[in-house]
Amino acid sequence: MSKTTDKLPAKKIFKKDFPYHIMLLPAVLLTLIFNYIPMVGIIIAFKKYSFRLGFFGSPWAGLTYFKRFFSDFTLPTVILNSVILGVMSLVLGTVTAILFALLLNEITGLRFKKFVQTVSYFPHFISFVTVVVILQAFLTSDGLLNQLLISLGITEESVLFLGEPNYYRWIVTLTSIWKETGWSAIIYIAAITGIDQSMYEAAKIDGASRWNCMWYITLPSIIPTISLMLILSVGGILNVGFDPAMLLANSMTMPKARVLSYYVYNTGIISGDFSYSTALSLVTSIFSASFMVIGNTISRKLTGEGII
Amino acid sequence: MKKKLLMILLALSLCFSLVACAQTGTEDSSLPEESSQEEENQTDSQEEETSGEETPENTPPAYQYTPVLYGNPEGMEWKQDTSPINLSIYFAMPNSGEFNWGSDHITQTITERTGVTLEYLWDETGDNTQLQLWMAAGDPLPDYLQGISRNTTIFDNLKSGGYIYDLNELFDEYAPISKDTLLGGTEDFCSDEDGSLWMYDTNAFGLDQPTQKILALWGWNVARGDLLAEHDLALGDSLGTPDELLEMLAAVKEDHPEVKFPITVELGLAFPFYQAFGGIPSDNGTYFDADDNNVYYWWQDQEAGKDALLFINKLYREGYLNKEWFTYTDEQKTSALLAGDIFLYTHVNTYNHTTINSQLYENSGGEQWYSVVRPMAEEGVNPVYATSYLPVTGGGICISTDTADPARAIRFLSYTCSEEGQMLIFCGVEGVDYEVQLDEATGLNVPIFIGEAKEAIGTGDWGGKLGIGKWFWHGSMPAYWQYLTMYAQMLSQDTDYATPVAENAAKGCYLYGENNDTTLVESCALGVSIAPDSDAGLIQTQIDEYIQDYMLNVYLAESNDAFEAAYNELLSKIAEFDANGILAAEKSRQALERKALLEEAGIVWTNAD
Repeated sequence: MSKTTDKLPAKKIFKKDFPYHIMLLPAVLLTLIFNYIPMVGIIIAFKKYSFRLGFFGSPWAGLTYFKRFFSDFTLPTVILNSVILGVMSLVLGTVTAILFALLLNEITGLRFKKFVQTVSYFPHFISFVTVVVILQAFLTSDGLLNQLLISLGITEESVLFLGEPNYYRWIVTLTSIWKETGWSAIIYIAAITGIDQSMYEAAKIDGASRWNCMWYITLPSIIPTISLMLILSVGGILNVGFDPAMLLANSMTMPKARVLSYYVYNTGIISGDFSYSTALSLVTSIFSASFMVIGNTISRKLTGEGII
Repeated sequence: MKKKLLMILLALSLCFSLVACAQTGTEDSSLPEESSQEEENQTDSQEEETSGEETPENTPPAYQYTPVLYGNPEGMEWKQDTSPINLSIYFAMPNSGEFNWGSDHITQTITERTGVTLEYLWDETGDNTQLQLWMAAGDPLPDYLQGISRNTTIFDNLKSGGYIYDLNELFDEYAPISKDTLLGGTEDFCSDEDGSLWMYDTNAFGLDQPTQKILALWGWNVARGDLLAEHDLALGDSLGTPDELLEMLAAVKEDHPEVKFPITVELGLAFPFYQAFGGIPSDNGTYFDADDNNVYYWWQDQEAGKDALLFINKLYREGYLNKEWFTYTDEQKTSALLAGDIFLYTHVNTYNHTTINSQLYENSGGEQWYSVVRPMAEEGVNPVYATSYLPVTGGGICISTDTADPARAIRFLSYTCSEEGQMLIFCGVEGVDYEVQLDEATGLNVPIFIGEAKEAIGTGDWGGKLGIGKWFWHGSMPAYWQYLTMYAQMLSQDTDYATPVAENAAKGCYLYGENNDTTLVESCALGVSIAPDSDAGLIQTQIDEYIQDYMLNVYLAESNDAFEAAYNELLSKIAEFDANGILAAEKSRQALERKALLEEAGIVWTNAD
């Protein structure tokens, strides 16, 4: 915006920027219709919802479903599974993406660098359904990995990777890293690209090595970006793991695979208990929002950066 | 100016795309159009006498059984109106095989006699999602809804939302004779506590099963015919005692190491093994002990239950039960079955089974798959079979309030329950598919397959040739295997199973032949209905969901000590879920009430001599 607009009255600013408002209008309408208006449906968390009576005609149930939430003694296990899987994915995923971005930044050959970057984010576009098929081909008892391990003499018998509950979280986390690292690194690569090159030149003059430059210049410079991404991601910790639970988990791994999002799906869609699943989702959203606020506060205290 | 114009054009295009996406889908989620299948509409429907056609004295009368509840009296209302009508039926499961009503002579015959053409609507999601979408969108529901579980929220929604009729009202208004025939004094027993009858027996399309012990759906196994033949076993034979089964599995494993899964066991369906060990069966995993203050137990807690679990664990430890089976998806299981990676598939009547059955039928080719009886606890003691086919036990047929003709709907339902309807569904057309012959052992007249039907039994082409192998999910899939077994035995007349069939028919045995007091209380137990959002219902839901985790530990214990530890943990978890005995008390209360209702109605669950 030009300096002169600061002094213009609001009406004139609006008139001046009217084309931009028009352009923004569909997106605002979209958000309003598909994101805000449906929030009215939250009311069914407080009602014994009936299709025929609708949102407003269904009888009130008060806090019945919230009481059920806190008295469901299987829920702690479900929440624990969600938190563990979420934290693993978040921490390892973020670290891997940052490392990848840093290493990519060190590549001098431009064409090779672009090639690696392009190839790295292809897995992001692969549906998880396809990924599961790939995983099954690799990890079943007669899959490629077992054949390799046996042929190398590392194991004598096949290992049932998909049947061991202790392997489940690692399989899901590593798959998530493989799938999302390239895509997640785009943001960090963009941030690194925006770093003032004169700092590197000055550091080199002072005798800094590549490692020193990375540690003392690159990393601190992208701290705001890292904070932003972490704060945005921490709110989604409780929502991870639905696709793996639906597609990859089985009877043997379900004790570790049963996460909150899957529990909500099971309760709401499969069982048709929409009121309870809405109450669950509402509580989850409140927790997620709280995590974001906490994360933002911590980020502000540690780094001075925050998004709220 | 140019910039403004461009902005407005861009905004308009975004709005247009928004509106275009907001249009309702082109898929018609409501009921499909009328069937375009041709109907042979005969105004004079061929009325077959319930006792068969008039025959000379020395010709045996038509098939008869001694029904406790069912009969076929004159005046059943379905005959009052046989004008053409299309009725739709929703199945809470995916289509397990290609079926078109009217494509075989049996469904054509049903249409000729009743005027009804049924249109099948399958829920490809397999979890009632389609039904819920219809309800949420306010679309009209199909005339019949089949396969909805009773103790679920969706069933609650159907009742409370006025989506389904109280069948008592429809019976009273449009089919009182049928009501008396079909319910015959058990109305109170079959209705809910408030007196409403929301669904009718699953076997409305096959009610013969409760009167034929061997026809019960639970507990049939499927075995690779070629491997079975190596042990001189064939269609319908028993696997013998558990020890004999182990010997057979050992031989199969040694001779055919390529068979990856000598035996399969489903996690949530182990109680047939419990029945094989002499346990009194129930399909919901509980046991109601009338002799012990009417306390509810879980079958795992019984001696027979522990024996069964120990046997399953033994199957695992001796290498016959491959734990990789528990990592398989339904599709992988189907693939393994079709690839011949399994010798003995102990799946029971579930959606997966019906899908596999259809594919087995389609692909049986050179390899036959035969239905075999599961092991018996002792030599010569056949395992008892549970049946859940009472109106109170769920999975039955409801009539939706959206039906255009409730009179025809309830009358067609009663037709399918009549003896004529039953025989059509299960045996086909008399004179074409079967003829009635005298069974000298019992003096009863029983249906024996002839012609193409007889040929079809041996080739596994039953469903394709006769049509009734496909047209209804219960009648089609599991019954296909059962009838292969039962009637093959009757044809061969040289095995033990021909006799029990007729014997049970003669005895009028409704559920089991032995221990009728237990039979009675098990019927009561099966009629328990737990509201899903009640305290007891929540406990039941949690048990159903989580107890499998502990069961698996029992199956896959690596040693006797590990088995004992896992078994004790399983029992303690069951107790923990219902620590205050809320679920047990509610089940017990309802079962006792039902028992009283049966006794009031004078229902005698004994062998009729």
